[in-house]
Amino acid sequence: METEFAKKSIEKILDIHGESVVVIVGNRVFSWQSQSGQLNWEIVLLNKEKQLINGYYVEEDKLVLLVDGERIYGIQIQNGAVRYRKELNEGVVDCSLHSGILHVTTEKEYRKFTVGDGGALDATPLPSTRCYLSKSAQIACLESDGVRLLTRHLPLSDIDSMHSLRCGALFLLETEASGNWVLDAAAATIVEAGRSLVVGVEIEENCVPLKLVEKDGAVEVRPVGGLSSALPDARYRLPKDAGRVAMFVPVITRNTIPLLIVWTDAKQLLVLNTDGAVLWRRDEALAEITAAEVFDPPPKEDIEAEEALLSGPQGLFSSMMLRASSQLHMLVELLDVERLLRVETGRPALHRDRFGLRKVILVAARPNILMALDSADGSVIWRQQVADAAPMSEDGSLHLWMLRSASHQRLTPVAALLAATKGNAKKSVVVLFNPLDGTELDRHILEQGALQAILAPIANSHHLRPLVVLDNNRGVHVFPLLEYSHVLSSANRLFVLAGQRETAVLSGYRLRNDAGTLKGELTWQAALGNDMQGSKLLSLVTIPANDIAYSQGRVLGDRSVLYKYLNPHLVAACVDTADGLTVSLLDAVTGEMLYSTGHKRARPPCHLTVSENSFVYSFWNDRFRRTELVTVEMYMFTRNGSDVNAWSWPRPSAIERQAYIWPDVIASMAFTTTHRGITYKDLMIATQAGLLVEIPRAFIDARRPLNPQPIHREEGLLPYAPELPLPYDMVVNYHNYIERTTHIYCTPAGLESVALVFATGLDLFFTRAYPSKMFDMLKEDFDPKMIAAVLSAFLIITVVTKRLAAEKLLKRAWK
Amino acid sequence: MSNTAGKGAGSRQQRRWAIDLRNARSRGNQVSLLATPASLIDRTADFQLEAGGGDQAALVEKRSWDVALGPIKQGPMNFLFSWMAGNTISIYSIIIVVMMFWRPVQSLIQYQSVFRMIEGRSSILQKLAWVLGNLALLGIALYKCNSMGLLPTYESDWLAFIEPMKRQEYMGGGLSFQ
Repeated sequence: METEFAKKSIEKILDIHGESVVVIVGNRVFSWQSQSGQLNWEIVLLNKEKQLINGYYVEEDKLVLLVDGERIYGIQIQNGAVRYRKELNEGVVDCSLHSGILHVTTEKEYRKFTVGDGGALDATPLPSTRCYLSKSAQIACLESDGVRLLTRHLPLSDIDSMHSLRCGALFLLETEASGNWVLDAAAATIVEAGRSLVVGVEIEENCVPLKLVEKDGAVEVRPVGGLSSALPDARYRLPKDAGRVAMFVPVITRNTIPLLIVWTDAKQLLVLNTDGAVLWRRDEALAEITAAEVFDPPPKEDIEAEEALLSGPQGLFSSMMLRASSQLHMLVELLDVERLLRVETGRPALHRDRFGLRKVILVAARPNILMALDSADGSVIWRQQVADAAPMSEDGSLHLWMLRSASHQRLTPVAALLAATKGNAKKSVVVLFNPLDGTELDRHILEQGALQAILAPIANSHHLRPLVVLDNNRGVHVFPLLEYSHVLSSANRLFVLAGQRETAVLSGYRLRNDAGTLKGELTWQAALGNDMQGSKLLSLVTIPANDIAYSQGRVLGDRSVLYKYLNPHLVAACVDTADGLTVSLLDAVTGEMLYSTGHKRARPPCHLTVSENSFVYSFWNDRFRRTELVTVEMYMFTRNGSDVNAWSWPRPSAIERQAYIWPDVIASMAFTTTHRGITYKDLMIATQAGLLVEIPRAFIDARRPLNPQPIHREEGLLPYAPELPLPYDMVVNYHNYIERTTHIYCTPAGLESVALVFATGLDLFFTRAYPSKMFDMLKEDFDPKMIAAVLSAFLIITVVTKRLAAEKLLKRAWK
Repeated sequence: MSNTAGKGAGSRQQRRWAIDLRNARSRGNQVSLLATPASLIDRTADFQLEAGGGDQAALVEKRSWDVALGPIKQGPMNFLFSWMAGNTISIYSIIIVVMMFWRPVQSLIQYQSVFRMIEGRSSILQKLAWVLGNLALLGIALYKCNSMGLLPTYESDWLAFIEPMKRQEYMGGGLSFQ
């Protein structure tokens, strides 16, 4: 299936004169037209996947030569026909194409082949099993005490690995103890290169090894040792937040290096020039986002903010000082002094705009990168590499929470990142930082490793909600540490749910105040899978915190009410059993199962999403070979009682469900949300083809009748039709296809009619959705000035003409 | 220029051209200007009203009943109007219903002036009848509102006032991290 293929990586790219591109992925070879992207041909080499050693393009014979672990292939560039395939009976170590002959070193021999037909030329035995070839087909063999060339033996101890520098006769030797060494096999010399990265480049027919030296943001490229001093030293500046250089490519003209292309370990691609400037920069970490939090930037200093500041309990002197400083801030803003002072960044000050539509998107990307994006234009505000953090071992994810938002004046916003520690994946690290500029506030290591975490429901006096983490030994940790007593007071109302992927077991824990310490206690467990055959828990969703239902029921056609079953403790789980999928709905506090259904011959991917009283899931129906979308809605017939605990919570009286067919394959799904819940909630679906579709709730309603009666029409239900339409005016992203969407984050905006949608994956997409059209904003052509002018003109004319008419009457009366 | 001669303004001295026959008889010993004709039969006694007579009481009663039953007489007209208004909500129907509603309310507010007009023996009964009549008109208007669906008689009309159920526990979590 497409998703399995997507996980492989490209092993080699060959550019054939800019006309076509040959790409090798695993055991498949593709050729595309460079200009149009049209696929020329695609072949599968053999079922077993062997590691590719190297691939070459042979101009004269118009062949692509591939050498993998055991074979040599010659593929015609025109039509992808395999001209020859040679089996080598030993494992290939290295290969090189030089002067029309393919040189191959295997574990025992050094062999040569003609490229035209793969005919063997000769074979000589080799002294050791690890012999490598340089670009010019010089052999160097790695031995325990040094390097053996054809004629000489060069001693060097503790060599970890050796590979050719793809230039002339140069090899790079990496040792643990003494750094890197450059071997010139032709001249039989070894030069020390320190611990820097080394790249071999060709300058005026000579092969020069260049090394990169980094120091305090200044990057220098120098020739290694004294091998060639014809190159002037090239100096560049690397920005501080770019990380450390992992790979570099110098762009050489004559014998200078005006540009340096750099790939850092923070997954950034930069082009630096010798003036110290960054020509352009790409954050490739944005393609691996695992968690995102969208929040409002701080509000401007104005009267409302001042009132909010002074609303808390304060002494006389402190409130006077607060008012004075607030007025000073406002004066500064009025005079725009800030703009004069802020020359460096050139970015306008980060403030909320009038309707609360501008947001800051905080993202955590693999492996340990935090970034903040400005939702106005998608630019990166700050980037940070979190030291000693790594993705969690289970699914490679990092987790983010906002402990305090930026809406409170004078209180710095706080966010928390939960990740595994770099050295030991079993331990976890919690990092508290300021999401507006990335500065780290605090960091703690959890020895036992985190199992799950929740945000405490009640904020402390400084509007901060502590993060409560349950670790694998049922110990409970609270971050920031000072809030321990605050959480202790409300401990018996906190419940944590953890689901195990491999066994499909859900466990519910309760936090207990055990004589001053918090402890986690297992209260219930539910085994959702089939014990006989293996089951995997695919997805688990809980009702999001910002999901508010404005109206408590649905009005039916006869003016009676069907109340929505709104249980904030609902959790929906999708389990992949051997013969299909099982979807269950449980109450996570009591562990009671409210609903469960199985779909035979259904395959993953199973996408689950919950909103108010309905949850929607999709799966692949293997029998009919189509994607199906199922809506399950829960209702109650009567409502009584308003303040009950989870054990007395009513059960749903009716569960309505219906299935629909989706004409595409779904990559991700989410419901839009707004602050008050008044606006409709549309379902945003990202398809694998790259479309982001907004489906109104009416289409996926579970109560759509098969035989519509007038009472259904009164309610506004569409008659049931199994296929969901995909009209192109519901596609939100027009022709900007977004590839490989992994998650859609929906957040409310300042206006009630606007819902913000942020899709992550290989591409990022941010937009506003208007599920109920734009009911709370005036149209753009509403011109208040014109209306005021016309009104005042009318008034003036009325008064003037009244005066004139009275005068005229009087004059006539006097005649 | 205008003639200011009134009926008795210095009329003894000036020439009287109007003869007041009414008081001619009662002023018996005054000079009568005209003698009665010989064939005149005097029937004036038949037409004289007695002040505070029984007939007057009946008339007052009748008038009071007219006033008291006034609203009820408007009832059939209101029925006709409500039938014309129809069951849908449109501007015409709203105008008619509002008018039907407002008239009895307005007259109930101005009860004092009506009660002044009602006098007589059974004035209490008549006042009660008047009030009940207006209430009946109001009832017709309300019935019209109800049949148009404007009254909050169904459960769905009170849906906006239902409070969401408050939670006592807080839950969080998901797939375990390790």
